Amino acid sequence: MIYRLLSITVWALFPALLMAQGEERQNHTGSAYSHVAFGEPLDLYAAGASGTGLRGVSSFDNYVVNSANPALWGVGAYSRGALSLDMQHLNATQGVNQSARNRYMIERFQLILPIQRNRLGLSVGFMPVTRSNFSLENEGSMTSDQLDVEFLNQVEGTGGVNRAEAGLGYRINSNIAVGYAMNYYFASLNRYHRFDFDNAAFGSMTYDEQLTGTGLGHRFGLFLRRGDLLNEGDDWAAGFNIFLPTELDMSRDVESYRLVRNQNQRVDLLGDSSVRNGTIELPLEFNMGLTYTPSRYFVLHAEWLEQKFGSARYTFQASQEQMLRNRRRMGGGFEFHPYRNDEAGGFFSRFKYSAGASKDTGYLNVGGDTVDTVTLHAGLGILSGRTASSVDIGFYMGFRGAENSQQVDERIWGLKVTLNLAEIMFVPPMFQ
Amino acid sequence: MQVITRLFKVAAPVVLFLIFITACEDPGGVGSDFLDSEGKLETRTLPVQSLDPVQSSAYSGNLSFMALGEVDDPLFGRYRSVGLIKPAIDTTSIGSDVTGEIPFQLRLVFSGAVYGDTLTSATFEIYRAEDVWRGNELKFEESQPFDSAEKVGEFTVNQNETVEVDLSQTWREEFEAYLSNQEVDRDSTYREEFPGLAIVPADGTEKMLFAVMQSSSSDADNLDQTRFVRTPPEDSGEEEEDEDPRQFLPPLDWGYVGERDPAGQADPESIHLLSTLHSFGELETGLTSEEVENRNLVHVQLVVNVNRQSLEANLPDHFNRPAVNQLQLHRVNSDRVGDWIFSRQPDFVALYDEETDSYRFNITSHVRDLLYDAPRPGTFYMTAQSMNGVLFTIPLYNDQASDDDRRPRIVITSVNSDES
Repeated sequence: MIYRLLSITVWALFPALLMAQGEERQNHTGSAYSHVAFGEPLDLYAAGASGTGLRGVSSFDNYVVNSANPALWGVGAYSRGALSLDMQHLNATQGVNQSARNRYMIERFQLILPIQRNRLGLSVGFMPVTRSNFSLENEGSMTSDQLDVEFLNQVEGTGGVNRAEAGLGYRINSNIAVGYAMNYYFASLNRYHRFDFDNAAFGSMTYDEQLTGTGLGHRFGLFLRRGDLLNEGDDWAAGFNIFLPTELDMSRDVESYRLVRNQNQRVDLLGDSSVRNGTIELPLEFNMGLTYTPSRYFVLHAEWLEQKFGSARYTFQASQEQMLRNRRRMGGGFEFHPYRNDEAGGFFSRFKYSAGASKDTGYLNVGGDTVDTVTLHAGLGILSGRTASSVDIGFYMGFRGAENSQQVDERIWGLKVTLNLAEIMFVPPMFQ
Repeated sequence: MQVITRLFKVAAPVVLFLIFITACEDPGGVGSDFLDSEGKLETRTLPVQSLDPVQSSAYSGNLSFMALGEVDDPLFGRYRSVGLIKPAIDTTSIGSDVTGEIPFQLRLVFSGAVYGDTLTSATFEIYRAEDVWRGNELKFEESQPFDSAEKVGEFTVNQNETVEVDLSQTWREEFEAYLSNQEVDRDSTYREEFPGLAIVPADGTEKMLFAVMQSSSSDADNLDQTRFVRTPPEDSGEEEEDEDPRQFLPPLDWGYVGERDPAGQADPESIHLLSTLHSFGELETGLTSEEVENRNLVHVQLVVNVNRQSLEANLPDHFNRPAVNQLQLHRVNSDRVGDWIFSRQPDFVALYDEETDSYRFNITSHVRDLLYDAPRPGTFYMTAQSMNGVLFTIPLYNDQASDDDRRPRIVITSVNSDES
């Protein structure tokens, strides 16, 4: 037992160790598009079925956390926890330019505790909302009093918006559950700017720009369920989740080390007329899904997500704010659970399988072009057998780009790993 | 153990994927159009408040070069420079027994710099200086009389070739009396009593030459710089055939004095910088932190342009001025400006930019001090090249120049932090 606990603990730490390795690399970056405003929105796939590529707003699993719909926190009897890691490799092309970029991050940490089993549940969690990880460089020239100077400008960005969440889910009856969560948003967008000039007198200069801020947001969830609707033994579920628009009061610092009176000092580079304060407004988000379970082996999902980025605000850069547009993401997927067949004894019958596809209209309008993403997903769930814990692995491959060939085209490979704990680290329900 | 076994089966694809993605990082140039780099860089040009001529007195002793000659520059005036030199009484190489008729010469090595008529030769007469002088305290304007009744030597330099001048027996014997002195106060007596030689340009000399007094090596037998030479007869038989029998004495003290009269042409659009400090620039930038506006500095340059038109309009045929390769900017916090400039390293140096015929000081550090703290107290003064004994002259456009592009100006390049 001790050995098992130790092993599980090591496994729980494994993503964190990977993350730490990633932080040491200065160049772990994501999409160039995440440069715009407060970064690209992230989709947290279902913790137990990331292979569907869906958030799981209408998907209930007794042994797995649900991050998409607070209403589902009141459904179920198990205490549940999840830790997710996302790794992404991205190949981008634009004209003759090519680049390869990597991004890794801890994506989710969430606990759901049943206050009253199968009636009222509490969830606390920590999750990313957007990520702005990029590395851009640009060559140019300038004239300074008859001197022609060429330069290389590099900007590296890290950070994004995160949220710490606490909320309750309440199951009204066997058909309806509702939920609410309060989210404390905190944004930290860091940008490292560097100029290297070919004129030695100009040398090179660097500075750090940091946008930080917080805001309080709210979301609500609704879960509806009905069985034996078309056939006996089938199950229909619908889920709804809405994030209300949230304002984050932001402050901006631009600093660097400079030699002042022969002392290296950290100095404030913003002048009196510079922009020091601003606002990020996260958009209204509406997510709904439909889950059909025709048998105990198959689960079918469909989801529709709307994010009103067109109304989002980013007051630090009007030009970037204008690039934001409403985002719509639609997808469908299925889960296959062969292990539920007691008679199946093959090796491949021990796993849970999932797959899906999604179409994302994107949240950007770049020079009049929309940036769409089509993603294919597949996943594998490894179940512990005697316990309710599992490891979920989801692979995805996406194509992002615009019809205009001048825009950046990206090919994305990603891996999501989620460690789901439901019985090892928490007390099992009394009557199981 | 089942769960452990299954969990570890996961490790393989995860680790392989991680290796795959970490091995392939290449930021490349994709997305460069997201950056408006050129729009972020701002350049502002501000005229300096003033660049006015001032004058001071300059030390002229124990410098790297000794100015000798006379030159009449239609732009900068007529300069006449008399050299002063006396040998060291260094007996380590020649011993204190100096009896006998051993010829004694002054070997003058000249630098390549010539100021004046390049086609004529320059003749100099050497006399015994009348008053004792100290090189470290010598200033150009000082009057140092010499005994013109008795010539110690005479020489002519055609271009800038090295010359060896025989010094008179009378003067040699006077010097050798100190050299053979065995008293303990010999050195102090010599310093306090022996006036040395004055090297005077003869009438008709129309150029100034610069004797090399200090070079990379200070060895007594370094022939790249000026020395006194004794040449004993070669009949001693002790020296090997290939060994140079000459004995060398380095100069103990040297310098030059002279006059500048007339002072040259005044030009309302120009300021003249002369390394003798007869004219140099007092600069008031007029910069305040409010005027700089953008605190995210890349580079701040102070640009001054050469008044090439004036320089060439007043250039006689076959006339050469030593090239001014650099200007210096000093932050002086003293009433004794000349002493400050002479005794301290410059704060900023600007090399000549041939393409734009200008000098560009990188004064970024000064403006940073201004923005983030306070500049060091003092006033800026601008001088030509360095005060090493060579006469450097240059006309610069001043703040009254009719052409805005040629006035002294401060060019500030900064990054607009509010742009992405």
